[in-house]
Amino acid sequence: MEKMPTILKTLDNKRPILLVDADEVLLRFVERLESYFLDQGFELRLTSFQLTGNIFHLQTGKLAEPQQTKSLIASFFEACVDDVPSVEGANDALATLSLHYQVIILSNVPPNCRERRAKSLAAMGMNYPLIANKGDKGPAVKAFAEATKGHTVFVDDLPPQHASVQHHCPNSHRVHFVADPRLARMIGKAPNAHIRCDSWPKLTPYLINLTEE
Amino acid sequence: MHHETAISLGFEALTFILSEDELKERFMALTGLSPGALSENIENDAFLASVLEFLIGHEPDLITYAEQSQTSPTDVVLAWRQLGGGVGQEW
Repeated sequence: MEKMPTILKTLDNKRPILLVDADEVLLRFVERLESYFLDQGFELRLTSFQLTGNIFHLQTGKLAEPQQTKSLIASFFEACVDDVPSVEGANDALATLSLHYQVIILSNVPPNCRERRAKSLAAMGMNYPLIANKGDKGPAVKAFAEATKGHTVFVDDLPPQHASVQHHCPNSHRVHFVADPRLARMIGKAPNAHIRCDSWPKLTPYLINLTEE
Repeated sequence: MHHETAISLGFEALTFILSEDELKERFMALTGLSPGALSENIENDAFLASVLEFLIGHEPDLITYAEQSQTSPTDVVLAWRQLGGGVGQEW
């Protein structure tokens, strides 16, 4: 199992680093979450960019309790972590970008599900080091950025993660990416990100260009 | 047109230019930007306006871009204006 210190040691300190989130960036997380919730008797109503407050019991129509929401999400990872389809173009984009960047997947997947997620990503052609992060991503991004003289690029769907990464690693280049078009419509560019882009084919030439001097 | 829509159109136009070698070379030569300076300018409205202006200034490019991105040349011009392009030009 790859741990962060091990990966840090294997990095080339001259090559740029691309840190990519998995859920809603490489993987169609919300889509799979919705179908899992339905199987459990819950409906996810995408009326705002969050899960809390948007999960309803199908039969009673009542809002799920915060504790229930938490355990539903935890059980989702247990049940489905290796069954989440990939975002269109993500696989090809990372293959191209890995010629220019050292690609690392930085996911807040529960540690006990990390291995299954890594296998599933590899089976979809995305065989890159996978870090199971917890909470804010700023400290991890900072550790990686310090391991290279090249650019560090960070791609994530959640605005608070962009705030955290800007705080800990202001020199990073931050891309706000929301794969699901329904979610994407509900949220503008994260204030702490440099750009918003929801398409891998469009993002790829831009990210390649960043590495050219 | 909303400001955010204009920014997103500007960014799309940039990625279109960067993905075509010949266009990219012409754009870089014309703007005098080094690729390294892209990340520093990407949040600048005036820079995105100059990206759109580059397309608007050469009709075949504008039409190819509009077709590929399923937008209209009019929207490209509207976005350019929203980002501060063409100020002082009356037509």
